[in-house]
Parts: sequence; C-alpha cells; structure tokens
Amino acid sequence: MRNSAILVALLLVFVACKQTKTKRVSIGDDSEVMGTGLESADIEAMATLAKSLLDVPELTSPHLEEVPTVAMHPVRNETRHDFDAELIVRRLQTELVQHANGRCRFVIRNKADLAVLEEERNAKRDGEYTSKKQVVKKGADYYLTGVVHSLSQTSGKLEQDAIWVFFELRDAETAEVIWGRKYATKKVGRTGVIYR
Amino acid sequence: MSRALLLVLALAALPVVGACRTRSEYVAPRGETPAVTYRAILNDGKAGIAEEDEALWACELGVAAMLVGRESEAWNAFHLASRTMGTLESSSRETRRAILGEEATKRWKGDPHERAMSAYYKGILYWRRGDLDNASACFKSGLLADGYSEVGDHQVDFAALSFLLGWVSFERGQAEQARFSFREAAQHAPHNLLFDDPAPGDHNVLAVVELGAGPRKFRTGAYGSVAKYERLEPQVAALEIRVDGVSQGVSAQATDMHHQAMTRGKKTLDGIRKGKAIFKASAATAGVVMMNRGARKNDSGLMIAGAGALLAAALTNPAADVRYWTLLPAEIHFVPLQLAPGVHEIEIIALDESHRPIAGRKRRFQVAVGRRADYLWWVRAQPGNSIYGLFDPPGSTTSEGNRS
Repeated sequence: MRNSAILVALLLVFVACKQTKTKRVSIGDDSEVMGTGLESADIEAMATLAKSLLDVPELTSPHLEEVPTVAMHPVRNETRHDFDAELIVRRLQTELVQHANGRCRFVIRNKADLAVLEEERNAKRDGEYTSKKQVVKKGADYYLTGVVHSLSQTSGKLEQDAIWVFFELRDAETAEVIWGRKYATKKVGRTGVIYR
Repeated sequence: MSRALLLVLALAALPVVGACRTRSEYVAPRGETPAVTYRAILNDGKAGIAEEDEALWACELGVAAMLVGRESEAWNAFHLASRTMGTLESSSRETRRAILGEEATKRWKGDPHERAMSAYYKGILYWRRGDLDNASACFKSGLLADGYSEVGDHQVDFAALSFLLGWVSFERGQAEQARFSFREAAQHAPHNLLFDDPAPGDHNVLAVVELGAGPRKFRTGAYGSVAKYERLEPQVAALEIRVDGVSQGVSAQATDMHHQAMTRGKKTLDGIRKGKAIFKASAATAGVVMMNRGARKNDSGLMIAGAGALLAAALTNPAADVRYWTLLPAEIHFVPLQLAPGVHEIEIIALDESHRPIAGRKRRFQVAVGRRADYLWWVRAQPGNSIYGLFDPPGSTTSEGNRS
C-alpha cells in the first residue's frame, strides 16, 4: 500500500512536469501557436487563389502574338502586423511560374535580386565573365500588385483581426486593372486570464 | 492508510496542483557602460534563459544592442521577443501554475506599456531599414497594445506612437492618416507644441530622443502581493540638437513612461493574488490554532489538520510578478531637423530642468546625410552615462560607434 501511494505521488509529479515534443505539421494547416496576423496557411491559400490569374485571356490566350511578361511588385502592408511582404510575392510567383507552362513570362522587380543581376551583367560587360548574349532587360506588359488591409479590435479578453488581401493585375502602359481577387480572413484570439 | 502516509501524499500532490517549482526571476545585469551591459546580457543568453523569461531577456538585449550600435542584433532580439509577446494566449498548464502557484512562472509578456514599447522599437528599426510599411504596422500594433491598459482616458494615450505613426504615414503618402495620428498625439500630449504643427514635409530627419531610466516595478502589500511602479527621476530634462553650430531646437516630451506604467489598469491576477494573501494569512493562523489545541488535547487528528493548514499556507505564493523591462527610458521626446545633403557637424547637449546645459553631458560627431526625406535618428541619454544613438542608416560606413 505504501509503495503504491508513493508511485501515485511520483506519477502526479511526472504528469505535471511532462514536456511536449516538436512535430512536423502541414504548412497549410492552422498551427497550435497562432496569432491573429497572417500565417503560413493564409499564404498558401493566396497562392492557390492567384492561379486563376492564368485564366486571363490577355496573358494566356493561344491567339496572342507575343508571350506577355508580368512583373511582381511588392505587396503593401496596411495592417498592424509586420510581416515579410516579399514572402507573399515569392510564393505567388513560384505558383504562377509553375503553372504558366511558358504561356506568359515573369520578370523580377525585387531590389535585392536586381542588384545581384546587375552585378553579373556588369561583370560580363567588363569582360570579367564570359557572355553568350548581352541584351536589354525585359520590361513588363503587366504587373501584379497587392495590398493587405486589416481592421483590428481588442476587448481585453479578445483580440480580433479582419484581414483583406487585394491582388490586382494591371496593364503596365494603360493602368487598366484586368484581373482582381481578394483573400479575406478573420481571426479571434482569446487573451489568457493571466495576461488580462 | 496511515496518517503519515496521507501527509506524504498531500506533500507530493500540493506542488502538482500548484506549481512544480519556484523560480528566481530574471533581472538583467547592469554594467558601468552600455557595452558592459550588452555583453553581460548576451552572456546570460549563452548561459541559458528560462522560457518564461526569454521575451524579457530579448527586450533587454534589444535596447542594449541599440545602445552599442548593433542594429542587426537589436532587430533579431525584438523579433525573438515578439514571438512570445505577439499573442496573449496561455496554456492551461501555464494558467494553472500562475494562479495556484507563483505568478512569475508565466511567460513574461510585459505590461501594456512594455508591449507597446517592444512594438515601438521594432518600428524604429524597420524605419531605419527603410521599411516604412512594417514600421507603420508596428506603431499601430503598439497603440493596440496600449489599448490593454486602463479603460477610459488612459486607454490608447501613447502620444509618441501616434506621432510616429503620423510621421511615417506622411512619408508613405497617406496624408489623411498622418493628420489623424498627429491630432491624436496632440490630444494626448497637449503640452508638446511640436504636435500642433509637425510639418514632416519641411524636415528630412526625425530625431527620436529617449531620456532617463524607466519606472521600477516592485512588490508591496501583504506577502508582496501588490505590484507597483515607482518613478526614477530623469537626470536630463531635454536635449538640444545643434547642426553645424546652429541650434535646431530643444526636445519636448511626448510620452512619460511612468504615467504609461501607472495607468496599466486593474488586472485579473491582482484580485487573485489579494485572495491568495488573505488565504495564506488565514490558513497560517488556523494552522497554528489547530496545532496548539491538538497538542493541548492530545488530538492527533486536529494536529494533522493544523499541519495541513500550515502546509497550505506555506505553499501558497501570493507574490506579485515584478519582472520588468529595466532598460526602458523615462521619457520619449522628438526633434525634427532639416539637413542639406552632405556631412554635418552634430552636437547634442543634455539640458537640466531650466534648459541649461549639464556640464560634461554632450556629444559631438559628424554624420553624412543623403537625399532621403525620411531619416530617423534614435538618441538616448542614459542617466549617469553619455549620449548614445543610431544616426547613419544601417550599413553605412559611419553608423557604428555610439559612445560620446
């Protein structure tokens, strides 16, 4: 009887002090540790949404004389959450490039990437590197851009963010909007009683 | 089961219901100079920081890194802190431990003014990197964090954050948001004349000035169950900035950190700690009385009950969590500047209450200004120390070396 009582006591201590183990989860799933800002699942959903861009006839119609070029511009952040806007651009670009199958082409407009490109081009033109072709950089016929807005509220017990991401494909010459989609999500976080 | 065995079980079970352990609270080391402080805090991290204190440690490291001109380290530190401070959710285990056991076992996420300041520093660092979108997001986030403070006039009254949001909004071409935020700043700091007509279009540098040491949090009341803040008076009342020998103005207070800390409002745990203190006192008294009577009457049952009450009293910890961010400033001020492109001789002079220069408290240096219209300088006058700051854009050749 004494031994079993000590065992129960030890078990209680063990249960109270047990540690959890890191595990792999799907990138498109909501995680256990979740804020009310944009999460990986949101970025993945945006990438899926952006695929409809490839149905726009101005980009992928077989009757086009030339393959159109699309530039991806940074996504503007108008929310209260800081995030890597470049991540959204890259994720969308990868999805579009993967599914475009050459029907339209994409050009980079990211300053850091362009700086790397410029270095390579200059080295070729200076004769430091070999070069098979030296051409003018491609201009964009269309550019894809986006803006993230949010409405944020808190009641002390709850924290709520409604987030809208608006994407638009614009004609780079006429400024016409030829495609637009929105991604919207709303998240409510409960403030722990020990932090109220 | 014998009574002794029952006592053993009770002894084993009580910490489980309450908390597995008691812990020493993290206090950031303070050296003679910011460089020594920075290294000491960094060494704390290498030695291992408890998960509960990680955000506090990171916040302290962030400011210390800014003081020694290590912007990238500060950036990483504040992002590490925001991983914890970004959500106010708590696990049931953490809640149970903080309520039934010691409050300081919960992960430190700061009081509302500390959460607001964490967002403020991130915003400053984003701005200095040229990322005005995320700077703006951080200032908004800081204002929302301030919304967790006392309901009423003191909710969202962080004038410095409103002003910064206004300025960055102007730089982003959002004139309406800028006007709204400037109005909000003026409303919460009516004594600051700058806020009446900030004219960001007429200035290409905004100097954010921090003075003194922020408020100290301490325990008081029965069993230290009440947490309070006390003001540490700043030795410097304002800073004057001179460019090429010409005064550009004297800084004026936008935010008083002590006021922000004092208006944090009533928290749920304040009441719980008060109840725990009453229980602890009552259980201790009852325990002594029962043990006494049991001994006199030779009643072992009463003695065991008395011992149980004393044990419960001993295990009840009503002490308030007084971990706080020690490297916060006492006040935030602003000075806008208009500098022509080129190299300038800058002189920053600490002033006393009467706006007279304080002997030996000034800094002179050269800074190169380019054609950007949105430079942000961060200046800090430490009590008993020199004037420190981040001036040139990160990565520029003269940005390091912040000692005066």
